[in-house]
Amino acid sequence: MTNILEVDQVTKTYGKKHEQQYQALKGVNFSVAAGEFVAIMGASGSGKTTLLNLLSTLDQPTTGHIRINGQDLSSLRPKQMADFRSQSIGFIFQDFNLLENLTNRQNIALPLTLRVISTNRIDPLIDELADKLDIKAILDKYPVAVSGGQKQRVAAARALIHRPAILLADEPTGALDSASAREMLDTMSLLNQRDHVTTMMVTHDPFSASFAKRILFIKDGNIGQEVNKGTKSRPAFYQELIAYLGTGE
Amino acid sequence: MLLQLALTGLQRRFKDYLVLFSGLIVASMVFYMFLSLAVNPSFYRHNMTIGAAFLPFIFGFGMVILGVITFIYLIYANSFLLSMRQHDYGMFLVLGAKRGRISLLVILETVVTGLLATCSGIVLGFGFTGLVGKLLIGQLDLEIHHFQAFVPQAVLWTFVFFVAVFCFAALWNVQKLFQIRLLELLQEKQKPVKIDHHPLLQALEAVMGLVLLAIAYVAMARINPSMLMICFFTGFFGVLLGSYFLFHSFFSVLITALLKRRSFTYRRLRVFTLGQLKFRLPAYTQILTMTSVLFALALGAITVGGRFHSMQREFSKSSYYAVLVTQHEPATKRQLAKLHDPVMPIYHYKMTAKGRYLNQAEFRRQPLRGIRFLPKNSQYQAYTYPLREVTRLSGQPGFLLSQLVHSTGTTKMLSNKRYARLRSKERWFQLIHVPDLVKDYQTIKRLARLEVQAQPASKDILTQLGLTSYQAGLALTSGFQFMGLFLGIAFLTMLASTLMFKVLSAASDDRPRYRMLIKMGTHEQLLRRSIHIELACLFILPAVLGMIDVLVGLNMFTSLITHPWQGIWFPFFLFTILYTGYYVLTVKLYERSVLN
Repeated sequence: MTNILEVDQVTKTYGKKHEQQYQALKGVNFSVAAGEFVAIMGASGSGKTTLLNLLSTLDQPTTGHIRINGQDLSSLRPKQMADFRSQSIGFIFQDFNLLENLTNRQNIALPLTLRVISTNRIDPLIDELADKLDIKAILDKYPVAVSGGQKQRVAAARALIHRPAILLADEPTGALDSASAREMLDTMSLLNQRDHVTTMMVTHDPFSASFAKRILFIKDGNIGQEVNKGTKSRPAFYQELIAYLGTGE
Repeated sequence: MLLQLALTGLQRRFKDYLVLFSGLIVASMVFYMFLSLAVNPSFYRHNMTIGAAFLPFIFGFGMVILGVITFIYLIYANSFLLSMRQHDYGMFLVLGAKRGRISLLVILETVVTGLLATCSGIVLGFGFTGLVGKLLIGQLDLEIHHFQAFVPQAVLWTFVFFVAVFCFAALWNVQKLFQIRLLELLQEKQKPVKIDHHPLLQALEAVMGLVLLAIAYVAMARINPSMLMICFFTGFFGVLLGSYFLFHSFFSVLITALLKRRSFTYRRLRVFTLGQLKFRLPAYTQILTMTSVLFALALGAITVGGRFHSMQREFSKSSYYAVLVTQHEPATKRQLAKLHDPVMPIYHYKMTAKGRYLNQAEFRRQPLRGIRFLPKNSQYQAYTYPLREVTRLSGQPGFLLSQLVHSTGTTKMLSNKRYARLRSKERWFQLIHVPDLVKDYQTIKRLARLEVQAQPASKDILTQLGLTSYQAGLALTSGFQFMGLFLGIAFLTMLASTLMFKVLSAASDDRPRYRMLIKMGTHEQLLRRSIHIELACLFILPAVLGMIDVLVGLNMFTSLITHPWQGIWFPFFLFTILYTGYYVLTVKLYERSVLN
């Protein structure tokens, strides 16, 4: 299976030369195959956010290479980087980041309006995806008028509407109650299994991580252990994770 | 400890404080500038001889408007101050500070900020008042008396007004602060967009806005002396309420309709820009209404001031001859040589005990000229007096000549022969006409002074000539012109500050939206374009409404000035340039705030 994401010896150092420097990532290597659902787990300060910023092209590695869908990100200029983001990456954030002055439909439409696409095709595409995510009834409402769980599904729709190569989710259940969180994770899992959406989720929550097929643990700027779900059931995988985290010191 | 925490908070949000502080300074400065004229009755008693009866009313009304606007502005600025600090206050409460201490801190912060801004504003007010005053008087050659930059009464009233409002605001802040729960204080950033518009109510408001504006415009266009007050107040409050409803609903209704046209909105960032505007316009209703009214007042003041200036030119054309000389002393000769394209006929006369005698032949050779007013196009026209009237000494030329030949007894016009036979000393007078009196004003003034020094009797004769009419015109209009331009500039400063302050104070709330769009891969160029369009709408809509208000509102000045719309393009042009400057500055500051 082809790799959608390849991270090769990536380091990230903050601070100028001759000043006190801090190395947030210390030579990270991993890859994500097409259709995979990978979770990256780590404690605060482990380098999760730095890694996500690099993957989402919002920041540049100090050394090393990142390739998404075969494209080496270090060779891109700022404008090309923006184009690449709008075409190849979908984001889901912890606090939804929906634009509250737009309806849910308009929020979902945004990534498509940034591309040269016939305006007649936009609404049918939104309706089709909204059906899958069960948000059709709230499309013309404003984000403030819907629940947290619904907001996150709208955010997921916005992240997927332009069929990105990879979906990056940053603590997608962090701001949800347990029922909504469960619903969201089921939805992401379904999208991965049914529509083969390649997903990379960053989380510190083992329950959320248990929905992934593979988990990479990051600690002090290095990718350490890797855990595969294999044929295990999700609850069994979750128990394994709990046990691992309990002894992972 | 609390004081240290408070200072740290101030340091952390220094940029926001700078915006707030400069806004407050400008408010107190403009307030002082207005009062420096309004509470200086000797200024307007000496400078405004026409329409003087209206002045207490005009100033009183201006003061109420400015007072209300400043009050709203200060209350708004204080709520901004509270919103900046509420998170810190929440933290202090969590750390165990008592509510009483926090109240004291809020009051102290509000009042100290207010006092510092007011004092700085007043000091700047002296400088700005003096500078603008000097510039206007110098550049426009105005005859202004009793104008002074430092007016103790204005200082006192500005101080009292601002301190009173800040004390009120401080108590308001305390009361508001304790209505908010501690958790909400700590989560100050999570402010959802309010959606409380009922479509039917919104449509009704939109229609009402249009109707009220129409009523106001009719009242202003049909203003007449018998219903002056009713028309004036209907006009003013109609414009105020009409603009309010227009901004609150009409534009939102338009944008909603536009948003439904997907083929238009689903392109680039249009959907985002329209979404921003749809919520921004109603949220900015008060500020946009205020801007539009201030814009109209400032533009109106500058336009009326400018019209008085062009009226001065008309006064310069109301007499053909500007001045007369009866001697050619070296100083007078030097001044005469400085004139641009003058016409300077010399006429002779003889005097006896019975009267004074003029030579007909001289008037045939050098016809006497005069000015007539053409009511059809309100223009002055030069023409040659009919010789018959001149020789018979009848009509206007007869009156003029008898005045010019200053002596007792009768004036007679003699034939060349009879004049030559008359045994008496011959005297002469020279009439001076210049095509542009405004251009030669200083030289003509010097000539008149030299003439009066040499021949004191000429003083009365000069009152019949162009220089005196022009000076009378200057005296009549300078006060109004000065006041119009001075207040126009003051209002404009306030206007720019208000709108800029409002836009910039919202920047921190807007920042996450732009960050989100950048993460989604939106080009910076597109974001900048969206910002330009959005802010342009915020600037242009009140400006256009203000311009329409002025065009209609000028009807109210037809009794004071003729053709108030004449040459209106100039103040509009000047205003557009200044306003565009403020727009560009706001855009640059806003971009720096949300995109960097």
